[in-house]
Amino acid sequence: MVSSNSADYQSSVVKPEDFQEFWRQTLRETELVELNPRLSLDPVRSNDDIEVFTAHYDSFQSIEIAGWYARPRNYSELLPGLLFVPGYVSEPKLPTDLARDGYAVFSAAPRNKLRSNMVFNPGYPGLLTHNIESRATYGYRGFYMDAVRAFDFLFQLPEVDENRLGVLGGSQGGALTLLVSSLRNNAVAAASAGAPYLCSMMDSASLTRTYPYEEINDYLRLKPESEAIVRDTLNLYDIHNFVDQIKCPIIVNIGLKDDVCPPETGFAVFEGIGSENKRLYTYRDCGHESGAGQGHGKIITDFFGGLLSPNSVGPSTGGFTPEI
Amino acid sequence: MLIGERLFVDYWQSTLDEVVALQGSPVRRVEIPLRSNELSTAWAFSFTGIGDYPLFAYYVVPKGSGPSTPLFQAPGYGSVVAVPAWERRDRFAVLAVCHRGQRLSDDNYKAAYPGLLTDGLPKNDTYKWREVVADCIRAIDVLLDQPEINSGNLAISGSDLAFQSAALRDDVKVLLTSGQMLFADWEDSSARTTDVYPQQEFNDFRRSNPRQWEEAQRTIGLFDLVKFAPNITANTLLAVGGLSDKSTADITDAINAEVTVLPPTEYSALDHIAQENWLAEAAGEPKHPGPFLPR
Repeated sequence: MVSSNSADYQSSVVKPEDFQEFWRQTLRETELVELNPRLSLDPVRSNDDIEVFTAHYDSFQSIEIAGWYARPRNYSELLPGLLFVPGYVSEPKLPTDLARDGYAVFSAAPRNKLRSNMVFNPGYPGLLTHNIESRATYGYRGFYMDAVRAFDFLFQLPEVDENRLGVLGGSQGGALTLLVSSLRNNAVAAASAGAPYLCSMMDSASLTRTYPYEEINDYLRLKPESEAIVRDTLNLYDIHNFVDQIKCPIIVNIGLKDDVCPPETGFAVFEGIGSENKRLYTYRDCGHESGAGQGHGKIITDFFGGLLSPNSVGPSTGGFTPEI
Repeated sequence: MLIGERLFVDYWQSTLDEVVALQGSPVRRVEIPLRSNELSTAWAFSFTGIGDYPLFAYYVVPKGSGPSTPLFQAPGYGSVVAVPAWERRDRFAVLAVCHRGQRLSDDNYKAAYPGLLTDGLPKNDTYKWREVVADCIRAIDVLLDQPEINSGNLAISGSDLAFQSAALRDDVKVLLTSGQMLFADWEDSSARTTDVYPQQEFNDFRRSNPRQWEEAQRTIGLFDLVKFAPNITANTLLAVGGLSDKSTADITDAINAEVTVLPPTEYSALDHIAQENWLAEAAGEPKHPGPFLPR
């Protein structure tokens, strides 16, 4: 069982010397690719209150990425925006419930997700260890950039208020929330990260036997001689190393019996977040849904509502549930 | 012999007949060293479902002497089927099938999310979920043909597809149902006003195809869990979320076996452990200490 001193856990993650330069260069390469945003109204998924669009943009290595975009059908002033980033195996959310709350919402499907997997498709399981022995071609390099460019997509929409932009997600979505909040720290105004994955990755693989981290154990069981190089790659991609650059108000929630993303690593990454306005919510006897059953969805709704001031277009019928 | 209205019985009996005709067709079994571990050996199964459709399944077998209790892990609603979990694979021979349209079984058809739940409506002979259920029945036949298992102690876990599969067989001893059910309460007012997918797919269909909705309702009704319930003879745990009191009562009253109702609490980790313990006990296997490693 998770011990009571989980909060004191010290991550073994090391920040590589070339960390800043690697990601600066990766962002540079990414931004050389024209975003080329496209929206197409989806009448089947739209209704009297909400318009839903299929979205596409171009990302790192010129790979086409898909997403959903939903917004209130009628609006008279600029809308606050939310980027929703997905879990590891779950399908990207079609965010009509958040649009009903008054947001313009972009829900990204980074490469390997359905509709974005024509070129890059290592599958699930598969993504976490895809090219893991190569820092330059590790699967998450492009995946991370797809999340950043999804935020850029939202940012450039004319109906969206660029000063009221939030990011949210759970599990892998929690990790991507932290990533985007770091790499776009001058534009993200609020963030909510649930049960963040991809934090202290090597530690996590030794703390749990649950997939997706079990993919690392599977890989090293067959190739134990590769442990050092795997650790080196993962240090470069570990979310733990990004979070000191986060500036916005942010909330993080973790389940104290999460067997997917060990709570120790959640405490550690929260500790490293650079923002002075941060709050951690912990939920005892909760697993990976990290407090959804204890009302954390309302905390998220109120958090963004207080900072981004949406005008809802009807009673909210949905709720935010983190999914892997 | 299936129990229910004539249309329900005829519809599902003809589907079962299609699956039975596949018995004896080739099944390819290849070890997956990458997903094998100290507890169990992992295999990849390839076989065909109705309509000569190519299907994939993970199969993990405990190491050591058998026979093992067979556990069919029915797929959920989404494109990814996970490798069976650590806390199950040292005590059950677990088969996790990817039904048609899911990853690894998507050569001929790729399911859309949202989209699968209404694919093929309104007609009952083209509704995709019929073939999806048939894929599960076929996968159970494949599981029961494996030499390492005790075929007299079949267990099934999952949500809608677990329930529907268990009802269509008379050889299931244990049924663990958990998660969110799609084919219960689908006509309730709350379902008609939700914004949340996948339930919202039914609303999208109704709004886009108002003239076809009546026929679609009749088709979806063939998949309603209340109609399947009288056919369940397995010791059952109903640990599903969001089920109305009426549906819970209708289902539990109709099931022809012992039923335990254990709704989810706010403590998901404890719920998970309770469900796994129930499954182990009902199947005559030792309880597992839980998914957590000692710290």
